[in-house]
Amino acid sequence: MRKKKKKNLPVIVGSVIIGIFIVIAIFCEQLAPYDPAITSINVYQRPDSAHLLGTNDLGQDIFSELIYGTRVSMLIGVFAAVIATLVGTTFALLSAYYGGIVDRLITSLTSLAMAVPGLALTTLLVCYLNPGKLSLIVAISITSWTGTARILRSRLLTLMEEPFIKIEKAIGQKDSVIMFKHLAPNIKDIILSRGAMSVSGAMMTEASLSFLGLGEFGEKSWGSILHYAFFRNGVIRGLYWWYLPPIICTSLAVLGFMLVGYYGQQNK
Amino acid sequence: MLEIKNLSVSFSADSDVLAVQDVTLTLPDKGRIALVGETGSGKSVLLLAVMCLLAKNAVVTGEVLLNGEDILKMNRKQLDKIRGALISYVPQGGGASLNPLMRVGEQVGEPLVEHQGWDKKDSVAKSVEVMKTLNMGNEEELAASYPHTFSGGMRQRAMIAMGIIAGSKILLADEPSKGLDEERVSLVVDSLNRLTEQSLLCVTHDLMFASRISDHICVLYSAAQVEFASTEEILNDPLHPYTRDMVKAIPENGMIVDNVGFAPSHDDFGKGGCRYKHRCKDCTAKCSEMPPLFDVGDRKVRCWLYEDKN
Amino acid sequence: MPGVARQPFGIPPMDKKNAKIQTARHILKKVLTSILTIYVIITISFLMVHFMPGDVIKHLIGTEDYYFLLENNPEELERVITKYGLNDPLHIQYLKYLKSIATMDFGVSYNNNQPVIYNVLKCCKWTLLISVPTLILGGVFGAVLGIIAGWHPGGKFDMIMTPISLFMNTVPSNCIGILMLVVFSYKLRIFPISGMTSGMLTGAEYVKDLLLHMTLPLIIMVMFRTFSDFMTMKSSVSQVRREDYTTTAAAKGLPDRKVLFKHVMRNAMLPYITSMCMQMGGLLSGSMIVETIFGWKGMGQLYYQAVTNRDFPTAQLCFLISAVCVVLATLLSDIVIALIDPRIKEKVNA
Repeated sequence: MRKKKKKNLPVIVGSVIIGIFIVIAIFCEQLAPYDPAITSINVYQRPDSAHLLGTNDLGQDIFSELIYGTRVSMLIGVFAAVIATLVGTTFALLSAYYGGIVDRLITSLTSLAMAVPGLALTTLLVCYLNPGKLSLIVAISITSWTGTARILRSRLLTLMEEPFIKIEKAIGQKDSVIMFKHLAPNIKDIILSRGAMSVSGAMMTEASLSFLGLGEFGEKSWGSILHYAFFRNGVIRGLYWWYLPPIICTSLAVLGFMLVGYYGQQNK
Repeated sequence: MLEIKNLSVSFSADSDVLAVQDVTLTLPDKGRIALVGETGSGKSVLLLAVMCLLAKNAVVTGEVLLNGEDILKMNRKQLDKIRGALISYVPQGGGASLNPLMRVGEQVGEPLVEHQGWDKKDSVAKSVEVMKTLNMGNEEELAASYPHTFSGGMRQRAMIAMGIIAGSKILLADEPSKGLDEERVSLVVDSLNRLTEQSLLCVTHDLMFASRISDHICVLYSAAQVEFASTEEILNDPLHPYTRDMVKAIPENGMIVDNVGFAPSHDDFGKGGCRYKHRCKDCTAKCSEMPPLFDVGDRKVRCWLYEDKN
Repeated sequence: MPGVARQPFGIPPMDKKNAKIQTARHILKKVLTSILTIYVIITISFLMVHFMPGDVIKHLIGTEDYYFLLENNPEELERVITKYGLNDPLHIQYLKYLKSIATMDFGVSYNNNQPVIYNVLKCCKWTLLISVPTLILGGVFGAVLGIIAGWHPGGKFDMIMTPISLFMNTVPSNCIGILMLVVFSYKLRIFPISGMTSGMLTGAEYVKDLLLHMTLPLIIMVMFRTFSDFMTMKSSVSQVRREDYTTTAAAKGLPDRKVLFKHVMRNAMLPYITSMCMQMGGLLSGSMIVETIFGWKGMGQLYYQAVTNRDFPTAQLCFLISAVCVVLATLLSDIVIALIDPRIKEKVNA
């Protein structure tokens, strides 16, 4: 029976969301009407034609802040996820391929890293390292590679039992060739979907940390905007144009990556 | 007595691909029929359809009469009353065929608890007894063990015990020899042949195994019944070209495989005609039409060669 | 039919005593691993302070305090450095640090000059007050909904619940927290805005007031937990449902209810129990964001304030306690599974 290739709607929706945010992140200089750092005397302005999303307590244009925040949030999320996925994949490959002592070392390292409460360690690290983009990326990726490593390792262990890998080993193929030409392509889909999930996880952690005031000071991410909105009484005073946009943006971006990650894996 | 009449199964309503096509079969009391066919010929689906155990998306048509009552028309409550009590399904003894968290004795005795209201302890004791009739060895210990300590043959025989424990007179066994080495196949054969009170409908891909446990063989090819005859007749004088080729391929007959080919793909399925025509040496123009099941004496053959002997 | 000789049992079965020894050995191994893990975490937290970029003393007393003391009171700064033993060689410092942990001497908080351990224990109580109900309620709701959805995967309930819970798993908890705060506290004025009690109340009034204050944070936590537990249970049930033994059970004539409870649930509960045990590791550290938003003076907020005020003794103890909790929770899940699942002992043997 010929089956039409079913369109994976959630993945398409997710990709569109991600695409839009990436475009915004790249072209934020062109898109933003104001420099988000410039303060003015027009504080707490409601949204109007001059300020699409109003202004905050320092008279900064929130719409511009939000557009620049896209770049910061996406950058931290994507970078942290790329590092976490790379580290997780490498560990999984080494661990599953070599087995024995290498596997034991990596497995115990993974369980050790899993035993550390993620958000707590990240908070402590960011604090020691002094808040900033780089320390956020390091702190987030240090705690988030474990899930990827575990899942990939168990998948690779089943692959290692497959005849086509055993044949390669039997004919004395080089380790690196087997790992990158035969093993890696077979787990490509899982890596990609785990990668997308990692981005959404990293963006959530970033949002939480920045919300707690541990984010970048100079360049505000969405989480930082929310931090100021909450701790400078924007929420209590009902300034919805201040606290709603970062909430919506964060949720949408995280949802986009989650859709791609979750449903991308499901239909394979 | 179990009568299967014109049973067809497909997995979507508008699809012309049938997993089982128009199978008619009668299993008399104490009769032993083996359903033989290649992997993918729809044998296992047939058994599940008879038990009404197929997933909801399966479309089953025809009749399955158990002592005159149509199983396919029963509701779930009525089904629960007959399953395991009048008619039993013995699944393939793969690794996950028994619940890994329950002791085997308890699982084997479960039909008694369910159908006759026994208490658990007595049912376990009875399961030991039934396993003894199957000659399993160390029955008390087996009953107290968990399934993961069992070999495939042991699991298979434990499930045969589960099938007969509540007095069911009809056993439907799904590939009981699959994945077992010769020695364990013999043990399963031995256990099955100890069931003198029950009738057996056994699905297998192994003609030799079928010959050891059955008195009649029904050959399936690509979802359709192609031949039905007694075991001796099938082995010594096969009529249908497919059966002939299959019999030639068994070791004693020289393992002659001279018409290599594949079962029809799903794409040419709907185009009709005899399913075996692509591989058949006796293929004629007539074969582009699906032959009916011809009666040749008390045998049944689905091949145009036997049209005039009808 | 010729009789076949009775075959000995394929794999020698372990007698019961032997099985018990195997289980005990398995558990002992896990306990030792956990102790080792805790030791490594303690060491890491020591190294973290000493190998971070920047001056150790700045980490220990905070950058502002450091410069303040450096300019106004260098003697005091020297005294503090000596007090922390920062002039000692690293291995002496390490031994001193281990000793202080062994004697439960975690220092004094910079914030209120109380012993750190006293502050932490006080806050633990408040965190447990919302995290334990969250664990239980979320666990029960998630399990029930997950079973319903997993029993009929692709059914109506599943099709509605899965996208919702996927979405709920993606919304950061601070976002939902703020939205709920705005709607229920500011706009509708159903619940108090922040804090734990209004003060000046005793007896039943006090309890009622406390409950009112904890409702909103509790609802948010339970909601998040329910949706994540739902996903766990759903995937577990729908997987077990496809296993052969589910068909075997139905073929015996068991009604759906019994197939579900006697066969499917028992197996589906294994991963769920693991997940529940692991969640116990987050009892103290899992509610930081919600506590901060609602001004709930628990461990999370204590930790958050310690970090922002550079109160390192407190922050470090909070971190250690959270880590120990996670390790103990993992150990608990290992033990529970070893006791329930007969297959674990075999794996140890192999």
